[in-house]
Amino acid sequence: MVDETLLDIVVTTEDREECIALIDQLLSLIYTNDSSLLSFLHSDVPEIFSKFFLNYLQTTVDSQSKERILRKLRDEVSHLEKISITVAFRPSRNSLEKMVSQVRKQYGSNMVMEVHYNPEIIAGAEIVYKGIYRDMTSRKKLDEVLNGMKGKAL
Amino acid sequence: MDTTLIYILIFVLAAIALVGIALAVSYSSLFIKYRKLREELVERQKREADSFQKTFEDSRKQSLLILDQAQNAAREIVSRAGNITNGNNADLLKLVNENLKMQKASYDQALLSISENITKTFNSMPTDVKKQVEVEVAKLVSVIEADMSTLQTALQASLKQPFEEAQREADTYKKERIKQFEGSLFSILSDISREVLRKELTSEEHEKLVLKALEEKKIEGGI
Repeated sequence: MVDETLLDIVVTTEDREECIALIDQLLSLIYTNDSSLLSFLHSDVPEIFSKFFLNYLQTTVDSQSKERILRKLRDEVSHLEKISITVAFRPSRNSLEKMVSQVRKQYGSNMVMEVHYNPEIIAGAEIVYKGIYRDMTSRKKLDEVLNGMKGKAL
Repeated sequence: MDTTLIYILIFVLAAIALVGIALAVSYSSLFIKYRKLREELVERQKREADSFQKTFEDSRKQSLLILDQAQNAAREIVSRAGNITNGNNADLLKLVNENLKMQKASYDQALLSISENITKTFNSMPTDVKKQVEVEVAKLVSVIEADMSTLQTALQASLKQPFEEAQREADTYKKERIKQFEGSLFSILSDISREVLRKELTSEEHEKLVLKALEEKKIEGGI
């Protein structure tokens, strides 16, 4: 079962890549000293990630446990299932969170979104999951309406 | 018998013989005259019939010539019509109508002239010749009718194909133009609709539509 707090911060595949990169960096630092690790988390890491990892790492004393936890998290993040969604706007973080909430409701909690931007679809979304494509865009609806009108006119 | 009575009897017999000879000569002369007249009559009938037949033959040739001209003119119209199918249909119809009117006027005039000639010739004939001519005319009419029927069929056949071809070309062109027009119209309509929708939708509306799209998948039983 994936940590729910981790799922809150890993919404997109970009988040996932960033998270994995961050875990790799943390893994390289855990055997140095705590101060350098904390300094890194406080300074170079986005706030949502730093809060999450600080919460985990501060409660763990020894380095081996920290490594075990980080490797477990890395494994969980790596195995999040991808769904590709193309939208016609640049979604905010808030929008992405709403979207992923809906996705996880439909397809399971271990989902992560690969979001693409394409204004040609007008609105709605193109969805690709496990190689299956679904066109739920306004472009498709508009084409259907226009083709219907065209068919009647001709 | 009394000698006088014998002389009288001989005289009477001689007189009867003379009268008989005179009658025979007269009858012979009359018969020759009758035969001569009869021959003249037959000759005249033959001449009149030949003359009438010649008139009819001329008329027939003239009518065939007119029909031939009409046919050629029709072919020319069709040929021209085929060349201008890409143009205005109204112009085509106008051209055809004008040519048809012109041909009809020419044909009517020729027909009137032929009819007048025939009537004039016919009225000048004796009754017995007229009867014979009528028989010839009936034969001639049937020949002309057969010719006319053949000509009509040939003319119809020669006109039908090019006209149908021209009509098909015109229909195809019309359909293509309508298709092009509809294509352009819907392409423009599509572009405008897309542009308007893109500009009008806010981020919140986009978000709602995306969420709705994701919800719709559940209704369809998931991906």
